[in-house]
Amino acid sequence: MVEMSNHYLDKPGLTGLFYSDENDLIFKQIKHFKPISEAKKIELEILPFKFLGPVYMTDAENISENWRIDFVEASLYLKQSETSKADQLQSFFSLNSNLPSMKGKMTYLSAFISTPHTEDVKPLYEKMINYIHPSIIQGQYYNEKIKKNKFNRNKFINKELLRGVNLLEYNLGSARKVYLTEHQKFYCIGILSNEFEEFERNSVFYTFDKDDSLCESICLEIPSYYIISTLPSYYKELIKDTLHLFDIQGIEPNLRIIHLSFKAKKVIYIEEYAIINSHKKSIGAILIPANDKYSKEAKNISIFRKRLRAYLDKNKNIGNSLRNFNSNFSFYRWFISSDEDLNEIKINLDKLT
Amino acid sequence: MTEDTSLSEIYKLDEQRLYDFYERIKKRYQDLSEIEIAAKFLVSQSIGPSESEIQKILKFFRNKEFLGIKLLDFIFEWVRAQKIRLEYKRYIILQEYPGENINLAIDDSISRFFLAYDIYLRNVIKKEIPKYIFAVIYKIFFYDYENNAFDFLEILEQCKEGIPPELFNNEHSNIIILRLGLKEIIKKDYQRIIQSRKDIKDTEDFFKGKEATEKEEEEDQFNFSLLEKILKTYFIKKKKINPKEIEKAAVQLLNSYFKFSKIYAYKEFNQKLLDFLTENLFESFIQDFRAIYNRERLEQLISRYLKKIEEVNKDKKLGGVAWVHDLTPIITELMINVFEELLDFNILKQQKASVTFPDKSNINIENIKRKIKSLQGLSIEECNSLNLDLEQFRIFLESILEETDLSIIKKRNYLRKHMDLYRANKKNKRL
Repeated sequence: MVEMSNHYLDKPGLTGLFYSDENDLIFKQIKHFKPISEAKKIELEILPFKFLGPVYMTDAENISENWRIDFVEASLYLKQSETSKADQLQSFFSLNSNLPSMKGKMTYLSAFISTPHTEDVKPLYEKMINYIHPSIIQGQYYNEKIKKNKFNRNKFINKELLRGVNLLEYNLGSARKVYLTEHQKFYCIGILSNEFEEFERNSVFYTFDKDDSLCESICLEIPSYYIISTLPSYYKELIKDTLHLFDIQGIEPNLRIIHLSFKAKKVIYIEEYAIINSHKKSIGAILIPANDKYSKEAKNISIFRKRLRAYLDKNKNIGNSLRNFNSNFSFYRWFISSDEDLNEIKINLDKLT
Repeated sequence: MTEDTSLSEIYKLDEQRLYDFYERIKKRYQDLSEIEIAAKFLVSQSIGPSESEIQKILKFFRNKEFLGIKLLDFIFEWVRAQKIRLEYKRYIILQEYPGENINLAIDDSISRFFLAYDIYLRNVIKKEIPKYIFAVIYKIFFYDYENNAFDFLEILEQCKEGIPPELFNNEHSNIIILRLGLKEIIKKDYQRIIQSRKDIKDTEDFFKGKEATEKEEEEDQFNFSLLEKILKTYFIKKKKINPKEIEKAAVQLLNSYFKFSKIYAYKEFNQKLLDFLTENLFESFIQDFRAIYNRERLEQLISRYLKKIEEVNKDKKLGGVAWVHDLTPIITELMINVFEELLDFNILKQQKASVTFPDKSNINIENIKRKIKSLQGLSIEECNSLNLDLEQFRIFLESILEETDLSIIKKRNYLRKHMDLYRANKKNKRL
């Protein structure tokens, strides 16, 4: 169930909150600066499901623990051919929060925000997980107990989501800060290479050899090879669709970072891109925090970013650069463009039948 | 560093200083109980409601043994909370929430200041206490005592009803408690800020309106000071005035009225300019010239000059600068003519010469002159026998007095006295 209620921003931007309650009912609250056409209103109804989809995916796949997709960020770049009519937005990011309800069933809150600035995401995320999401869960329980039959749950959740959207929107505009966690060392467990030519995308995933013991042990540190290899392209398309839905013109998303976590486990995906001869080329690295077991080739995120950048700038074959990320990587190309390709990953890397 | 320690670092207390101060109060009021001393301490720090109300609060917390912390620690936490309130007030006073959204003010303040404080306080208070007590503590610690009446028992009841202990003791309820404890406080604080902003805006608008009216009034004024100065100089020195000086004065006169960015139609100002010049020029004339010319004559002369601009620009609307440019040569020419044609001292001499005195055969004119020179009383009959109008009589008196070496004051007093007499007599005759 999606409760409709959209609001307009007085400055360029998009802010949306989607909530999935303990009964898997979906609520949404979106603020945008451009009115949306009637034709696109149906697409708007589906939007919460698209954002909450990957969150469910990690649950539904049942191939690993209940991983959380905490944070997805994309930078928005100007399309050269459409600079004159380009909108002012520069960044797009999505935040997710999972909290059990008072009855113990999981609830999900997902936010997407697009702004003309590079936002300091940490305080926004803290407001979401420490204030907005608990206020919905606690408020719902409180009102159900106090007001009993008179309590209108839909009205309450929508009101809380609107408060949440207002709070997030009001706290936008703080410049990005460098936090201590960004100086941690990480270990690269895979490389995703994408080349876009006209309407065709050629995506390849590189990791350890399927028979390498590292492949198996790393599988315990990540949701699955299948999920981490498909998430970036999923979010890229989702952000693109969202921008088109709100008629944001002249800009295209480029994924920068994805954070996934499960308890103490963490996976980070970072990506860089370049436009070479009018064709977009991007490359991403999948990283896990370094520990005693995986410390040999661990580096800071910034070093991995530099290596991704260097590969793009030299415009060489990935084979030459692959060992710069992890000397244990195999040159085997795992294609990720079709279902058949992805099934291969599931069977051979995740060892699922 | 954990959340709670960073908060106590941010809002750090000088505990030694506070403790020393508490000890001083304790020594001074040795007969008082610990609660009474603590209440005195808080009041001396300008914290909390009345002393009796503080005592009620402290008694409640000590008797119930809720907190698991010493009374002194509790009152020090109260001091820290006031520091946080001060910081929160400094923040919220600068915020402009869209649409003056109270809910946003509440959410923003709680998530920015009080969420972290909630974690801190739950770490400080070691004992398991009913959840509603946290709401009570927030209401006490962050209450706006200056502007609102404080009733502890009422607050206690409100919080108990808001968070029934049987429902919430084992549930997560920190946000509900924070909202229950702080919602009304933040709402009232923000409403007061909105009101004071409105008051300030109203005052500013009032003064702006006043300034605008004054400015408008100023806009309607011509500045005559340079022309007045030139006229005075002319009357004293009796020398020809440089046309450039006159042009400068004309520019000043026009610039003072016409504004750069405003469009004026001729109809809007021609009468104003005519009236102003007539009035001010006439008033600036010395008495001799005023006696010769009247206002109507001067007005006719000015009007004749202003007609020149009327012929060209009557139906046009021009900017202030354009009007200054077009009118300057005309006003300059007018003034040059005023000096040359009207204020010629030769005219004055001729006028004096043309004053006809009565036939000497009938009147003993020499006798009258002698009386005037010696400042003797001149009878009204003798004055009437001269058969002069008021102005002629004044010129006659002045010309005779000028021949004497008497002091100016004596001359002036004599002239004034006899002019008044002569004027009154003429008036009586007319009646």
